[in-house]
Amino acid sequence: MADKYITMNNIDNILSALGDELKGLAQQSAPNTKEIARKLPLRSLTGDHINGGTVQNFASTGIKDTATKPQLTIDDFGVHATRLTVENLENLTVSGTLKVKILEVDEIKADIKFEKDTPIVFSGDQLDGKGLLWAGSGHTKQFIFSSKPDRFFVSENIDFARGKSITVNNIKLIDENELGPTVTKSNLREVGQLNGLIVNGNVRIDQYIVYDSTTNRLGLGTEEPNAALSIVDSGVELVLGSKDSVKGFIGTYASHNLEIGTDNTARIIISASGNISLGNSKLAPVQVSVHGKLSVRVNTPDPEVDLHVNGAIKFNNRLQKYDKTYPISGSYNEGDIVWNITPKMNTYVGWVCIQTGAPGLWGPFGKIGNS
Amino acid sequence: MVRLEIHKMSKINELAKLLTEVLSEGKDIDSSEFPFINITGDINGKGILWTGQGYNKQFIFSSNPDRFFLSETLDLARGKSISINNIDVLSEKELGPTVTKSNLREVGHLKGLIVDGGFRVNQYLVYDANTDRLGLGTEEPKAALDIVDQNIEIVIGASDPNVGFIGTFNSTDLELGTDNTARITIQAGGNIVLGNPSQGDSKVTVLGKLGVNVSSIDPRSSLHVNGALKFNDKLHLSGNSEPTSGAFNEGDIVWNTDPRPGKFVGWVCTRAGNPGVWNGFGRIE
Repeated sequence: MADKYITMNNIDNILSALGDELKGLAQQSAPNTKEIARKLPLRSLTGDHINGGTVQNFASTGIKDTATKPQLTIDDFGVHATRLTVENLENLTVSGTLKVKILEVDEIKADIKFEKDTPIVFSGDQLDGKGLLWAGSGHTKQFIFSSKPDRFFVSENIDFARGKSITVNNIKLIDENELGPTVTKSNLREVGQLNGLIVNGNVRIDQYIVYDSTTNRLGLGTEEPNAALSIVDSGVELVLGSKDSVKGFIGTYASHNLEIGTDNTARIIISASGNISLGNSKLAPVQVSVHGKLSVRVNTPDPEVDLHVNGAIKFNNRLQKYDKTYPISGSYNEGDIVWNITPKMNTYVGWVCIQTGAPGLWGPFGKIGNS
Repeated sequence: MVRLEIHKMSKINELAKLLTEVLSEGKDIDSSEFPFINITGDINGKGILWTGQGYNKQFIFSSNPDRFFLSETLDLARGKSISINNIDVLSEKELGPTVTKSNLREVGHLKGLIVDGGFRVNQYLVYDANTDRLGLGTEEPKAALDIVDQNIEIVIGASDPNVGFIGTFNSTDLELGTDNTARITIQAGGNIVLGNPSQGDSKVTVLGKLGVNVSSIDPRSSLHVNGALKFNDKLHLSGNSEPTSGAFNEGDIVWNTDPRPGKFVGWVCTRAGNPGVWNGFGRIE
């Protein structure tokens, strides 16, 4: 054999020699395989001489097979390896699942859909500032835990979907249209146009309208109303209410006149001291009608008369009064009359002042006679 | 789907841990969109937990009803707000304009107040928007302004379209006064007292003409009395003869309604009685 090693180039010569040898051996008692191999020229066998069986301790220029059991299988579906150690993998596309115990990379690029079936947990002794950060576009957007006091800090507006609400302990705090029913306290200084308003307690409007819930009194222009309704205007307090359970009262509270009017004009004027004017001295005389009986300073009016005056009367500026005789003192005017309080037959019914003076001159008139 | 790029990381133990660290420690995340994290399966109670410092702080999804549950107070940065459907509902200074309903029981010092509809204060001051009436101490005001005080009802308004009215609504007296003192009392039955018996004399002045029980005051007289008059406790009445019945006092006078020459101008009672003794006086020439 010319060559020491079997190669694909000399395999035909080797097999030919091997056939001759086998033929010779067949004629001999037993073939000597070593002799046969020795006689084959090196690199003379081709792969076509091999089919089946197992090549052991196989090695080629690029392959060294020292396995004692199958590690790599190649079929029409591809290469199947039981255990693969690769020093350098240039490009790898994995269409299935890649399970990695330890993955060391310099750079990873991925479109990631991160699915979890357990909560995301931030743990440790320092939770402050931990949470979600969105960085890279302007300032860092944060949704983090912050302590002292414990709270979640959110750097951005929070926008809820239409129809959603904010609740505390599952009780609505606010939604798009309303504050929850448990939100009862505020410091609002502006409200919209209210559909209705119910107030329990005091009301103060512009330091002018004051309702005191303790006294149940309403003041306009006063913080201390002196009646159910008290109106202070230009320093005059007008009160409306009652002083007892049988009478209502309307009037001034302090020493001020009261005018009662029509057509925005005073018609009845009650002075602070109590004098009463029916009509208005600044206007044309009015008519005052008493539909009934009128009494002046009389405790028990005479039901038979329409006008009952306790004392003297005066008309056409002339005095008329009753007395036992004509006056001996006092000032009188011509025409004043004193009626005889004790008229008798043949006396006079009265005396008339015939000259003004104190008491002036007086003459009897109306001699009383038989009817 | 999110594009997530992680640069220059030499050691990563496992993908899940990596991503947890990314989320927890804020490794560089270059994202053109918001990242999202799909939480799958039974999502009730799933979300973000902060553990290790007291009780667990939670930002989780909770169902029945569907909502996000936060275990902590939510603190927004200055100037930020909470909106619904991109409409502000709450910020540091104000409630959004779409929030129109509330059950607020306290508000601050309002700058103004406009109310459409009813107004009730302390179940005492009641404005009825249907009748446009204001009641103090009554829920059913009988006039534009109705004040009920110690069961006395004072009404102020119009009794018909041309007449204003101030008075009591029920059968109670009304006092008109000054200096917190009654000066005119209109009694429940209609009698009117000018002056106050418990005070000194009031001067009542009629600036015009006074008619007593007359329907038309004689323009020539300042005082027109329909019937008899009495002064100094003496009666003056009219008649065509001296009285024949009734009680009279000395000094009472009957003026002759049918005076003729030679007749008396009147008769005077010279002795009290029923009718007493009467004599003529002032024979007409």
